[in-house]
Amino acid sequence: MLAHNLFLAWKSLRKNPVLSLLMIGAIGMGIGVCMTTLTVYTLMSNNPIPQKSDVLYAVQLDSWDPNEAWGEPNLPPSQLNWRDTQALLKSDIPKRQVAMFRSGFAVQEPSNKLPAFIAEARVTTRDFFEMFDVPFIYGGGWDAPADRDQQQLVVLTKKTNDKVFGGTDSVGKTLKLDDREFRVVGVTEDWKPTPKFYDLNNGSFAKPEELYVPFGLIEPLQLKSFGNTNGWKPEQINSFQDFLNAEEIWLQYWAELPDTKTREAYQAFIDQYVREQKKLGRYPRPLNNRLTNVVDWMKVNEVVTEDAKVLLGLSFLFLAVCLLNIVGLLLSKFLGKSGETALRRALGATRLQIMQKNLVEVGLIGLLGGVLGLLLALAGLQGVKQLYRNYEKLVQLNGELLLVALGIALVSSLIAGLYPAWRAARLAPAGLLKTQ
Amino acid sequence: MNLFQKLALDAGPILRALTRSRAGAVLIALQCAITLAIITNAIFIIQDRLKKMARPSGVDVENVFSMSVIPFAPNFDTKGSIEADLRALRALPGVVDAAVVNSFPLLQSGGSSMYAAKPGAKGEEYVGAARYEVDAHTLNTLGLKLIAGRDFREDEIRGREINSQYENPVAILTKAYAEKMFPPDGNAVGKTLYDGNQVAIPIVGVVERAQAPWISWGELEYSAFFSNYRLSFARYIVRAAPGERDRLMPQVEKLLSESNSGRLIESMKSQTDIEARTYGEYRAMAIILVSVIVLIVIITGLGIVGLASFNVNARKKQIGTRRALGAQKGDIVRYFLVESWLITTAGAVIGAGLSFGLSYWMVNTFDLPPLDWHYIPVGVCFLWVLGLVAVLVPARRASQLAPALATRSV
Repeated sequence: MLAHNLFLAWKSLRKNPVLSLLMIGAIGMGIGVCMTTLTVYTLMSNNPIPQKSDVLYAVQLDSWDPNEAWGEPNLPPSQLNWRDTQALLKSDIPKRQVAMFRSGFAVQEPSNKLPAFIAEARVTTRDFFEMFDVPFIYGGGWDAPADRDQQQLVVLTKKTNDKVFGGTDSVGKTLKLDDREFRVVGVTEDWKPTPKFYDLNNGSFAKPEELYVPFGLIEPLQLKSFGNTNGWKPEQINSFQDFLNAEEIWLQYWAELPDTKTREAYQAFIDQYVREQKKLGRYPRPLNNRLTNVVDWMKVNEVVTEDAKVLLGLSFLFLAVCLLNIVGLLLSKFLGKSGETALRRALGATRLQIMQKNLVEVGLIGLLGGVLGLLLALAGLQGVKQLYRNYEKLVQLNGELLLVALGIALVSSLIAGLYPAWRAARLAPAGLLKTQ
Repeated sequence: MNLFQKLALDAGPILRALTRSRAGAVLIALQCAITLAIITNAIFIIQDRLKKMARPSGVDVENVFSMSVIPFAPNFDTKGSIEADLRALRALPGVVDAAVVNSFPLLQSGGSSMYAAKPGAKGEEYVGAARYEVDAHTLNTLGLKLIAGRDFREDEIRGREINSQYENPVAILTKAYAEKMFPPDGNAVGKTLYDGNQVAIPIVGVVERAQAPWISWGELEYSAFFSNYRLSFARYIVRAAPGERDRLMPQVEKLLSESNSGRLIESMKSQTDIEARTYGEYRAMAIILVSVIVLIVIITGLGIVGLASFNVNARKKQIGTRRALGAQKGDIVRYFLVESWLITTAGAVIGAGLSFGLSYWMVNTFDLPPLDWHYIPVGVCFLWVLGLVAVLVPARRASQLAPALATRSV
C-alpha cells in the first residue's frame, strides 16, 4: 500500500513540477537556514568533556573591589591572584587541582635548522593532564616537585613535536625555550576541547596551546602572562615579586571534586581561607566564593554568543514562514485535484485512505526538502566558515545533526500537510463529480 | 467614477470572497506578519552593526601597519634594540614615521586604568581610560589630530619594564576624556592627572579622537597616552606614505628579521586587516541577516504568487462571467491587486504587533536596544510593494482569460 501511495505521490509531484519544486525549495530553505544556525549553536554549547563535566569545578574567590562587583549579578572574578593559588594548592581535599595561565616562548630546536618561532604555552601544575584526560603519544606529565622547584621540563603537543622533532619519540631530548634548555617529558595527542572551557579568557574557541611547562618555573624565570591581567587596587609594583604579591588576577584554577561531600568540604575550606585573609585586611567584599561545574561555567561566561542565539530564533521563525507557505501551496494543490479525489471517493476509497495518500505525498516532499536542506546547510556552514575566523571547529555537520535535519524536515512537513490533507479528504464527492 | 471609488467598490465583493475561502488568505497574511517581524528586526540589527562599524577610530587606517616585538634572549638589550629598530624603520624610503606602543585602536587587547583630576580623590571620582604607553612618534604615526597643547618631546620618553612605575610621565588625552575629566570645556592642557598611586601626571596635549582598543568597551572614546613606552609586549607601528604600505610590509619583515636574532617579529598586520578582523563578527552578522531577508522575501513572494495562481484557476468561471458582463481587463487585474493589498495589510497589522513582540523578547534576552518604531512603516510599505509585485503576473494572466470561458464547463 505504501509503495503504491509512494508511486502515486511521485506521479503527482511530476505532474505539477513547478509547484512541487516550489514546495521542496521552501522546505529546503527553511531546513537549510535552521540547520546552519542550529549546528553553530549546538557546537557552541557543546560539552567539551562530558565524562567529567560534573566533577570539574572552576574555583572563584571574590577578591575584588569593595565598591563594585567584578561582573553582574555579583559575580566573583574569573581568575585568581598568585598568592591565593599558592595557598589553595596546599589543600589535599580535591582529588586533583590545577593552577595555570597562558604564556608563550620562542622555541629553537637543538640543531638550529628551523628559525626560532613563538609557541603558545600553558604554564600549569601537573594534574592538568590527568584531570582533563589529555591523551599522550609518548611519555607523560612531570612529577610533583616540578610544580614547586625550577625544573626545565616541557610537554609538547603532537603539532609541535612534528615540527621540531619530525614526529619521533622525543622524550628525553632537549630544545630551547627563550634560549634556555628544556627536556621533553611527554608528547600529547591532538587534543582540542571545543569550547576551550578551561580558559575562556582568551577566546572560547581559541586554538589549544602548543606546549606545556611546569608551574614551578614562574618565579625563577619570571614568566609573564600572555592572557588577561586585571586589577582594581592601586598598588606599588616595582618588581616581579611585587607583581606576584599584588591583588592582580591572572591565573585560572580548577578542582576535581568527585562527590558532594568533597565539594562541600572544599567550599568550606576556601571560605575559611578567605575569612582568615579578611582578618589580614584583604578580601573587602562579602564572602562570595564559588565552585562552578563545566556546563554552568560555560553559561556564566556566555560561550554561546548572542548573535548565535538571535540567529537561531530568527531562523525558526523563518522555518515557520516556509511551513505556512507550504500549507498554502499544499492546500491549493490538493483542492485543485478535488476532481480526482472525488473520483477515488466515488470508487470506494475511504476518507482515511485519501488522507493517507495525501500524507505520503507530503512526506515525500518533506524528505526531498530535507535532503535539499542538508545541501543548503552544508553551503551555509561553508559561508559561516568564511565569515567567522576561529569557527572552523564549529562548522562540521555530524551524523546526529544530519538525522535531526531530516527529522525536522519530515515532521514539520507532515504537520504542515495535515490540514490540507484533511481538507481534501473531507470534500463531498457528489458535488464535484456533477460538474465533470 | 475615480479610481479610489472603484477601489472602494471592489473591496466589498473581495472581502466577501475572502471570508468564503479564508484558509489561503489567512496563511498568506500570517506569512506576511512573520516576514514583517523578521525583516524589521533584522534591518534594525544590521543598522546597529553598520553604525558601530562606521565609528572613526581616529587612526589613518589605510596606511598604518603594526607588528609584535618579542625579545627572548636572556640579558637582551631590549631598549637598545627597540631604538635601533625604530631608527632603521624611520630611515626606510616610503615610511612616514614609526613608533613603539603597547596597543592601539581596534587591536582588542590592551590595558586600562583609573585616573582622577585631583589628588586624593575618592572611588567615584576616578574614571577609567584606555592606557596607551607610547613614544614621541606615536601621534604622527597613527595620524591622530592634535587639537590643543603639544606632542610629546623626545626628552620626556622613557622605556619602562612591565613591573615598574612610570618615570616622570606626561600625558595626552582624547577630547572625550578631557571633557569628562575637566568639564565643561575639556581644557586639560597644563592640568594634572592622578593615577591610583597618586602619581601626578602633567597633561601636555589633547587629540581629537583615538578609540580605546576594545570595540565593545562602554567608553570607547576615553583614552590617554603616556610618555613611557613598555619594553615587553611592545608593538611597532609604521605609517607608510599613501600607496606604499603593501610594498613596505614584506620589506620591513625582512629587514627586522635579518638585523637582530635576539627577538622575534610576530603577527605583522595592516590596520585595514585588523579593522576587518575586529569587526568581523559584526560584518558576518550583517551579511547573514541580509541573506535571511533576501530568502524570506523570495519565499513569501513565491507564496503570494502560488496562492494567486490557484485563485485564478479556481475563479476562471467568475472571471469569464465578469468579462462577459463587460468588465475590462484592468478591472480583473485591479481585483487581484486589491485582494493582495487587503491580505498583506491584514498581515502587516498582525506583523507590527509581532515585530514589537520579537523586539521585546530580544531586548529582554539579549543586550540589544529596543526596535525603533520607524522601521515598521518602512517594512509595511515594502510588504505592500512585495504583495502587489508578486500578484501582478497571475493577475495579468487572469485578465487574458477569454470571456467565452464562462460558458464552458471546466
